[in-house]
Amino acid sequence: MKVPFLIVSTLMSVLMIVSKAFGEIQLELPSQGLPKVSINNEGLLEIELPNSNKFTILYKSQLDPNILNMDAEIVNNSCEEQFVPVKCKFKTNTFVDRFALGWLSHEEKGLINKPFNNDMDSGTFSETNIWFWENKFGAGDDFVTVRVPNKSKPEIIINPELQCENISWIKPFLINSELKILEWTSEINTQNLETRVSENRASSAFFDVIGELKSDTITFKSLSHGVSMDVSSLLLGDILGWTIKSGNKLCELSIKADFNLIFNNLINQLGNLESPDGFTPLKLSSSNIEDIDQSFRINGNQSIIEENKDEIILKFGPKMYAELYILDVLGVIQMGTSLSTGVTKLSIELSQEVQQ
Amino acid sequence: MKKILYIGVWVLLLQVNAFAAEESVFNEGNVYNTRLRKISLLLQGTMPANSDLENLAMIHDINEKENFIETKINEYLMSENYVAKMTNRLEELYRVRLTDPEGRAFEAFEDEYLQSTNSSLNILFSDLFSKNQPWDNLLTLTNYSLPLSYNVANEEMNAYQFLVYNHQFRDQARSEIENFLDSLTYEDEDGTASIPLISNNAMGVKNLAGSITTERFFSRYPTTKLNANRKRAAAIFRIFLCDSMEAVVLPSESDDKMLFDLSLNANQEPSHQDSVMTSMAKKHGEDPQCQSCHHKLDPMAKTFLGSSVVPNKEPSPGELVFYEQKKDGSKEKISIPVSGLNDLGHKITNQQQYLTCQVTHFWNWFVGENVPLSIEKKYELAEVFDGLERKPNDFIKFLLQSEDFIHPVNLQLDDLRYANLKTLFTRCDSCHTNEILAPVLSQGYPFSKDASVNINILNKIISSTDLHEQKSVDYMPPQNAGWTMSSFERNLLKAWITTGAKDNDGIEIEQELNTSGITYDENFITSSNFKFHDTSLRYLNNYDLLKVFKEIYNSGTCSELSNVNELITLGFKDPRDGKSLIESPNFLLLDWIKNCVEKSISINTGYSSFLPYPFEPKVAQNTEMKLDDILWGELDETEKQTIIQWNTDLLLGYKVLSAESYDSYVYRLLMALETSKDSSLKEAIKKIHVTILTSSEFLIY
Repeated sequence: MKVPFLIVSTLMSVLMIVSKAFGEIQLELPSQGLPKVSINNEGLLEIELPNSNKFTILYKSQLDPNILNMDAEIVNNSCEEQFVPVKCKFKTNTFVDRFALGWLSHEEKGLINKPFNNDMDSGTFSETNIWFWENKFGAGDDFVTVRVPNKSKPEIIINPELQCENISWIKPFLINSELKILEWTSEINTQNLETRVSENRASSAFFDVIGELKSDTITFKSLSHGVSMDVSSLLLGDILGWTIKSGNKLCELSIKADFNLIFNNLINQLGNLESPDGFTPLKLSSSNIEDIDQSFRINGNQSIIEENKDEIILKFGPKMYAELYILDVLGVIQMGTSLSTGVTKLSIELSQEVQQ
Repeated sequence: MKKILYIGVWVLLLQVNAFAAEESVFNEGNVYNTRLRKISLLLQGTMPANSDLENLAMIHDINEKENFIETKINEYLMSENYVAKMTNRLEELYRVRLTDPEGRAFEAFEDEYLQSTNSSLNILFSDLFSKNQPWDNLLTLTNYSLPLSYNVANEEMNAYQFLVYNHQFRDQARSEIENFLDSLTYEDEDGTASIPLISNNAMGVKNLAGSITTERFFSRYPTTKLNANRKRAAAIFRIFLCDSMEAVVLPSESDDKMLFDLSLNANQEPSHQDSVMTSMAKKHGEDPQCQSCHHKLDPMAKTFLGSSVVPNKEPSPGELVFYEQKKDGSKEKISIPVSGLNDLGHKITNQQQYLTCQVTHFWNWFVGENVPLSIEKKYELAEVFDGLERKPNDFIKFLLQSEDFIHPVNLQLDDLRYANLKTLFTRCDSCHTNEILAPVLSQGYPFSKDASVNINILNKIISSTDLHEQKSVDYMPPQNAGWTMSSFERNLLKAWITTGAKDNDGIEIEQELNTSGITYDENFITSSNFKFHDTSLRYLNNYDLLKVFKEIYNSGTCSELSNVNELITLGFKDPRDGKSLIESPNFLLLDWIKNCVEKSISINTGYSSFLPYPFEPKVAQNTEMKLDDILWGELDETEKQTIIQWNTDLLLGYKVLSAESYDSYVYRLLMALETSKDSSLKEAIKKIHVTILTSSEFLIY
């Protein structure tokens, strides 16, 4: 329970901070010998080292959204004793992007638009394995669709869908063609902080999730609010729970979703993203990526950045860093066998120690 | 071998001291000073100031003495230590971890945990006592406060804000909180002030109900689709209606077969989860043994529908179904529809069963769980509680001035009651939790409403514990139980059974038990039977020990707990089941105290406060640094006695013992130091401290 709360807290505070900070960047220029950080006329983050080499944030988009579909079976309905399980398919309609730091200009032309080597010991910048997924669920009235625009696939911003073999189960819950899920929970096994016993628990919840039925498919349109407000919390766990009103009764539905497949597919695809080719600089000033713009901040005065497993931090100097906050929606930073979730913060600190 | 001998010495020491204690502090003595010490420890977890004990001893008029004690009760009820102590008691009741009054971050409680204790639930608890708020707030409050801590406030705001995400909240409370959060920095982590979270007019209050809709309660009692909020309902029944329901797993051949098949991958469809959900739901609906609890649990659990992680703004109707114990001992089933969590909270507080249950908690805390509380007395106390507007401090004060507290009726050989056996039965139950056919002996008496079943259970207890002393090899508790019945407990059980197995009202069972030939030692009643928690005389435990040692040595040296085992040693209850893993001190605690003294009395702490002032001649001629050069054996008897008396008064409290007991106590200490003639004065002082601090006179109150 705590981790999602922390993540959400971080997210909220980050968003509050960055919304104030961005757009009025007042850089305190580094003292002599330190890199200069700015956003150039093209809207690119530009970090210029004393030898005039510049680097920036690169990204590329790779995955086919169909890979991220999964089987989901509605196994129980508390209002129907003889409920027959219904097989469905959940389409997340999400994408994966990769971010990295790389050269914007360099005397070695072949290094331009290539990410840095992922080698902390070499003294170069670490490559940052940050993945960005489209965020389908957010705290607003509508689904937030935050992602780096992919000009080759302008049609890809699609809401999540649930397609079922039969739809008779849904009829008692419909008002016209609308389905209102009062509470959408996901369950995980975690340690109870009070008893220290590991147990299953509903760990995150969304409220008033609105879906619309067309043919055999429910398209999820909006939600009002949630605890642990990201898709990762919404979909992780063995059992998803829905509380829905049927007349005056509240019914609880349990949905068993198979996440193994989606993760396996995803992990298999990561190789495609590892190639150093295909990156382009991330344009921060594009109106299409306003949300990303807002999550970018340059601060010339702070020196210490917190470090935890949800953040990748590159420490190179005491006085300057740039931060890129990314909504890491399905949490695809692989850590051992588990997948971390939540907000990922990429922080870059700069100093003269950078290999130039 | 050395270790065993060492342990043996300490066990012996405890026994020796415990025996002596029977004749002193418990049966006679300076009753007012003893009572003030007990009140101070009960209310604050700390000793009374010695100056107060001295002043009380100077007063000769009984009425003035009572007035003095009343003044002190009022003073203690205003103290921070009292609020912390009562908050800890509620935490024990709610089965969450105890908040360290000093906020120490020791290994056993990681940072995340420390945050959870600094929560709106804890503020609700502490406000009850610091502001003497009505007890019903535990179930009816809708206006929470958050601690002045960025992380915690931010987390809990997430938990509550959706309830009030309407415009009112957005415009008022939310902006207020966000401004507040903006203004905080991480340096404010230790702040103690609180801010209001939700206004009473906010949208979601219909589904807020005091403690049971706080983030910490939800986190302690999580739910799943399979559990369907029953854990939460069970906690509410236990805390507010004194109806404990333990989860059991019924034996099922079909489930066993399914699990067996699954383990061999013999049957993959339907999935395990599906089958368990279906079969459990069926059992809960049909099995009479499940139904005995579930017909009460499930209707209440429904009020939490849609509130799996945080309270839903939309209330879910349910029903309050419970059995009210009438004054004549009979029970009446009561069913009351409720419209949501807030309504549930209010409806519970309207029940007589709630009142009698709550006064029982106070009784257990202040008079003692082992002191029989008859149903008639419960009703009487409930009336008083209600008359005092259910304000906890007023009721506690009433209890502390009542005859029940001043002269508790504990063990009387001719009038043993069920409550006297409860601790023993709890230990029995601990091994039989998952045996569906085993009666829960500690849950109430008679064990069954059916008299013939009740007599069978009692006769089974007689035979299974071999009360006829036929020396059968397999009597309870078995060798692998991890505990044995002490001589005291066997005698107590025999005495209760042979005197008619009386209930708490003193009513004997009508049927004849198989007691012929059961004999016991009638003198057992005079031996000690004190526990950490549940008797009218109890041992110092948990944070109280740390506080008391800190006061004595003016240092927190002893309070650095490093692991869970130390919590067990100090008598903390296990939040999983609310039971202590050990019920009374054993050598581990004595060892802990010895180490504490070793660490605390050092050159840094200094010895001067432990030497009489003005110093006795030999001591006075030496600086503290030279105390190592003075041998205990070099002091004359007067000097020795003066040093011992000084430290006895300092550690036990002035005139807590009667004159006769005091002399005997000092003599015991003198004898204990007979073997320390060649020890330095410093070492002798340490030994005096260890001996006093491990004596029953110190540890029991």
